[in-house]
Amino acid sequence: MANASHFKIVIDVDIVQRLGTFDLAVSFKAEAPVVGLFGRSGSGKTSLVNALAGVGGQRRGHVIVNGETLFDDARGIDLPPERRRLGYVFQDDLLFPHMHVEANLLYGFRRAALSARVIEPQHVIDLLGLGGLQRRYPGTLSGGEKQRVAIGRALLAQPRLLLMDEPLASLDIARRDEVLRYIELLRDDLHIPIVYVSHSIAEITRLADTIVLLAEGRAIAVGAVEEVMGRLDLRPQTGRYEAGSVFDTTVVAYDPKYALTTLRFEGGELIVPNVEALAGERVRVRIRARDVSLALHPPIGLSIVNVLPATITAIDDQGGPIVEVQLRLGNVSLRARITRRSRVELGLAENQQVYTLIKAVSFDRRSVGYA
Amino acid sequence: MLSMSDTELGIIVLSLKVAFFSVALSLPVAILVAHVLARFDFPGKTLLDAVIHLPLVLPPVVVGFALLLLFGKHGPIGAWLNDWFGIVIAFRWTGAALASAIMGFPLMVRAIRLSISSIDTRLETVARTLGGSRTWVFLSITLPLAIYTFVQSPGGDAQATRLSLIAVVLSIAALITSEWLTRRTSKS
Repeated sequence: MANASHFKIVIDVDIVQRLGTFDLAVSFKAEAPVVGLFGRSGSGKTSLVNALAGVGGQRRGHVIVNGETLFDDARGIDLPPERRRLGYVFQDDLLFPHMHVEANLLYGFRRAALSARVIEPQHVIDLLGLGGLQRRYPGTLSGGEKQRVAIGRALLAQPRLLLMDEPLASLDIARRDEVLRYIELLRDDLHIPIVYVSHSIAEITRLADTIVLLAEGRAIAVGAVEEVMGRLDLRPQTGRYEAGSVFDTTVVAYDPKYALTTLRFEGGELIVPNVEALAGERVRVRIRARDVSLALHPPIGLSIVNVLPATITAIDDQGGPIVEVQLRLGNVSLRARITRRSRVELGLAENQQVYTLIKAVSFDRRSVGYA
Repeated sequence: MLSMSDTELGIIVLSLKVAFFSVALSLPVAILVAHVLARFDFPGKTLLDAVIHLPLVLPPVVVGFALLLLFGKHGPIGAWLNDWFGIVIAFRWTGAALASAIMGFPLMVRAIRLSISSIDTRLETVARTLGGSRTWVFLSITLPLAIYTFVQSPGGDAQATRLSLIAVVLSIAALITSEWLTRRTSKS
């Protein structure tokens, strides 16, 4: 399941565009199998994706993907969308209502050069579980099915990467998880790089390796997910409630008696509820800052199973009732939210050795996914 | 009683012929113009829109007179057609077809423009990103969807198609009845 480095996007973007009263001026370079574009509504995510795809208005700057210049106004290069080979998946499925599922799936496939047809229709149908839907019309499909057909249609156009703009936003919660599993699956099976746009931390952290944080039409941070999400100074953009940390681990053991999986990373071992992964597989975990407690000494007689030594690297005390503490465990950075009273009573300070306590039950389905 | 004379049959065939050719003549142009009006903004758009609607707002006599001036044997277009192709428009069935085409044109453009406007432009965008050229997207997405939405519009199903077919049947029935009545009155 390792999404190893043998597939990735190298993307170099510099876009300036005026859209009514909104100014888009995004510039970043990223290199990863899955690049996440994260930002609040109105931060310019969709405008940026449109710029990559080559739709929607005049702009200046350049877009270079894997060494190929798709757009460069200074050099007079502006490939039309049909020649950029970016599989755009929209928030709404946007299936062609007058065509059945098969015709939708094959729309781009038929336009792709014969030599470029690497991704086979039957493979996509099997992978996305679309068997039996081929003769149905979009109007008769469920939301999850429609979005899966839309993803399959984009894949079959043989794109160099998938551009997914909030592909789960129009689905209900149950369908979201279903489609997210399929996206993980195609990433691991087809090794197709993805630019994944979302305002949901949970989705971004489950899928992305590198994250581009957007705010008010600017890219304000680019880097590894755990690095950007862990930065206290970006909290106004990443959000207080969702604050947490993300890192990759390896499955070492599964205890069938209690249905618990043991995960290892450089900072120690974690015991979490069964994640349905085999020993040796890479699994990404996300730990919310509010699920992490701190102790000065290893506690005894406690129900919390994960007790890991750590070093305090920063404390964000804004004078309110809650204080955020940044910790380092091996190469992993972790955030903890505690009351200011606890901080004072324990006398916590930077560079201090502490013990982090993480409840195993705080790892839910949505916070553990394949890396 | 329902048997028709050759004259009557001839009238019906002529009507169908005029209808067929006027639609064949105006439909492609109407689709093009409707698409341009629905999807693009350019200077002079209002003027183009107004000119297209002229046949609808002008008295029919004025339109007829203008057509006669242009397409008559000595009119600029009529003379040219006659010299080069031997086509005579004025006072022939071809003239009737042309006149119907012109008179029906604004209505045709309006209907097609409306159904093109109702298509989600993002569907066209998706089709482009999937590798479709502008022309191909127009032929495979815009045009079929315009027909699709036109047929599906009220009630969202085939009701409109049924109503249209009933309208056609009723019109033909009315035509035949009126021909038959005319014959009865002229005999007595």
